[in-house]
Amino acid sequence: MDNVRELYVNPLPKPTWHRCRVNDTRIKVRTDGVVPAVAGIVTTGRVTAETNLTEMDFRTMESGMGKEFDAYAFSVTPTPVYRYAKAGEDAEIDVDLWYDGKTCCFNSFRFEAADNGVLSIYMRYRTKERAEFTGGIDTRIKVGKNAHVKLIQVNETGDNRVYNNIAAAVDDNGKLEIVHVLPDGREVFDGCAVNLFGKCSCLTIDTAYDVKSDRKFDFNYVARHRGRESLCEISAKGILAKGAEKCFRTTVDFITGCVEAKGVENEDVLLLDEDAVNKTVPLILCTEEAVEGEHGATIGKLSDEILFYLNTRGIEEKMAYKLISAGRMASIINLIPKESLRKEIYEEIGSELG
Amino acid sequence: MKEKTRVDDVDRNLYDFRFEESDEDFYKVESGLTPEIVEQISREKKDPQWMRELRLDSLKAYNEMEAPDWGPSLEGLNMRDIVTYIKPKTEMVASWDEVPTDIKETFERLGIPQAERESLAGVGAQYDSELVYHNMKQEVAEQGVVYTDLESALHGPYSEMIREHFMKLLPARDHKFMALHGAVWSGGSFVYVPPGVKVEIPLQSYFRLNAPGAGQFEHTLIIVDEGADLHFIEGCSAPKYNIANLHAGAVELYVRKNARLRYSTIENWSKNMYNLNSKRALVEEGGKMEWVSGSFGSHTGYLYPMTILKGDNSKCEFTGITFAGKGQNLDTGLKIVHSGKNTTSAVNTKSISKDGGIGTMRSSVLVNPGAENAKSTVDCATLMLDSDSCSDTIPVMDIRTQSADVGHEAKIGRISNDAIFYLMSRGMTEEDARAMIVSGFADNVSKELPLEYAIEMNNLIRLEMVGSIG
Repeated sequence: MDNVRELYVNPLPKPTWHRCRVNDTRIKVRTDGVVPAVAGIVTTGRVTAETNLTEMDFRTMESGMGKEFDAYAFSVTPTPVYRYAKAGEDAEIDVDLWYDGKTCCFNSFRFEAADNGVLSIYMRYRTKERAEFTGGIDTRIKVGKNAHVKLIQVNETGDNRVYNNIAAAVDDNGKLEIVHVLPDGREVFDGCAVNLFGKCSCLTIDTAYDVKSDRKFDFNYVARHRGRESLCEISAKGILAKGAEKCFRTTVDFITGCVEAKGVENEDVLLLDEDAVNKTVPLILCTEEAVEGEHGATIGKLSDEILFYLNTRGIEEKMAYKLISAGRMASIINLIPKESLRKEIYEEIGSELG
Repeated sequence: MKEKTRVDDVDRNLYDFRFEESDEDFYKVESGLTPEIVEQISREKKDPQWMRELRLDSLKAYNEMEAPDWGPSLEGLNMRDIVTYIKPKTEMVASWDEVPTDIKETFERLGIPQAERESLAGVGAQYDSELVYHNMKQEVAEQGVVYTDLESALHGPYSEMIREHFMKLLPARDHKFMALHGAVWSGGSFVYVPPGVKVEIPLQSYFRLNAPGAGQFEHTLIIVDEGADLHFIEGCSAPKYNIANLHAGAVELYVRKNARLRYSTIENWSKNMYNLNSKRALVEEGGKMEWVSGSFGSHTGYLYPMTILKGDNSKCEFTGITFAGKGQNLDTGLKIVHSGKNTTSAVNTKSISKDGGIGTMRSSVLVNPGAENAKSTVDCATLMLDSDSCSDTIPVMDIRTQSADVGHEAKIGRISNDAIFYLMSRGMTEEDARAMIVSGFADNVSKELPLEYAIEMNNLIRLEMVGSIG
């Protein structure tokens, strides 16, 4: 079909054996009939629709889904939504994306927190019943000096395909916190690249995913340490059901000059059934001597110690798995500062832990 | 004010030593890779027909396959310049006294005959493309252990066993340089340990590539039969030249039911060497494969020993260290495939980069469907000695069984200033303190080696660390 293009997305910053099939992922995207999803945007505090940066400044930021996806995003959403939190302001932006049955929707956002600003961004992707769609979101963020940005993304898109692309840059003493909750989705492609340019700049990413039967999630998170004493912590907790497939790539890249930088990446995956495919690819790249980098991953079943403990409390294995799964999601959901949103998510996913 | 150690390049006089040789001392083929050259090698080695066909099929595969695009650059390696077969004008013998003086002297300097006398059950010594010496202690031979050069085995009573196993674990189409190996392989050893036989002291093969612009393509095939036990040591070195040399050897290891094989390597090729070696082990029920690997030499290296845990309750342990210095790009690691039930793997690797060296540690752990209760732990630690160097860790875990238990940890860092300060306060120089800390960092490998080899490895580290305060 002429109106469908093939893209290679979520590229691993340094490739490995092709046989592992983790160097990137191939997707097909529509090039015509792409429209923005209905977006409700509510702002609290002093937020303007203009930013200090040009669109070109945002476009040249490195993104997690890669250059091919960037080019596609720029072509289908020529006019992004801009929001700017002024210096010293404490602002909040709620973005509610409703997918209402359009075949293919795409939205782009540009956020900037000026020096000393505090900006909380809540982005929810939701769908009305039975709507079928492919949703794309391209979010680019600039975190100024001493600024603090929280990006909360919650994917409640049911049985649909979602592309979520993030690019960000953080200045001196700036902090970017990303909380990503994915209780839903048929095929989710999620990429995030953050350049920690500033001295003492900081990034945290906390992701919770629940890959249900026969669904596929594909992640690519990249933290590039460029500033001295920059910090990053990437953490993911996930659950894979029967036939689910997930690839989680994380890269902590220490670039020459990021003296005393520290980076940690961690993933904890619980396989609920046979036939699930879990791929975990945690890279550490390093061209700077004076750094500390760590990654850890645990994959598989519940440990015998936990099962034994729960058994001694009268909880059978099946229920133990259910409880632990819910607990993992809850540990990330509880990082969302807004109580009303937490409550809604718990209601949505039917968890008793809220 | 903190001072830093300036680490000089390694003093390699021991390994760079060579006698002057002329073309008259050797029989060799033209440089390059053509069907005529492959046929010429096949004729020279009196290959059986199946082997001749395997060589030509491999050449076809080589010409059809692409070079890897994900690893270190191979731009400096031009096959048109590589001589794939060089045979010293001597036959293989079982007495050092019969080895030509200059070749014997080379191995004497490397300590091989001495090691054979003191701590080995048998030795094979390859010089360029052919083995020049092969011998095994009488008492080990009396146990039924076969340790010979692969070509003799190919024409002897074990020919069918060779045909059944040769390039079955590592087929020519596995990758481009395996195809190259299939086309021009020469030399290497065959070891067969009969059921229940435990070889108490190690066997060793030593590979010396002495000729400039040459390739070495030895093939090692080891079968450790049911309940048997073997430790095999592989060593290698070459003098340094200003043109590229190539090593594309292959190691195929079969570990039968309840058998154990330890395969130790101290790789110390010269720094003009492209080391594109392939190693693979198949482990059956209750069998155990142990790798001990030290990579110190080579200009560019691709080395990822692979273990297939096919049988239930089979095990693999991998202990390795890579030391990438000036001008080196060493891409090392491992692959483990869990297919049987209750299989376990434990990996402990260390990587050191200094003076602009590039070290990349790759790993792949695959737990196949049905590999119930598979357990795997991977632990990688990296030490950066300066900011001119580069060190990357690229692990992949592909888990397809719910009952698997897989853990992975990696750390990257530098030598602690506190540790150096402590050692200096006890009277050590900074250089000695750093060398001691690096030796300690490599302890996981050295303690797994026989004493003589641990000492050699520590000497290599020591040589790498010699420098001046600046």
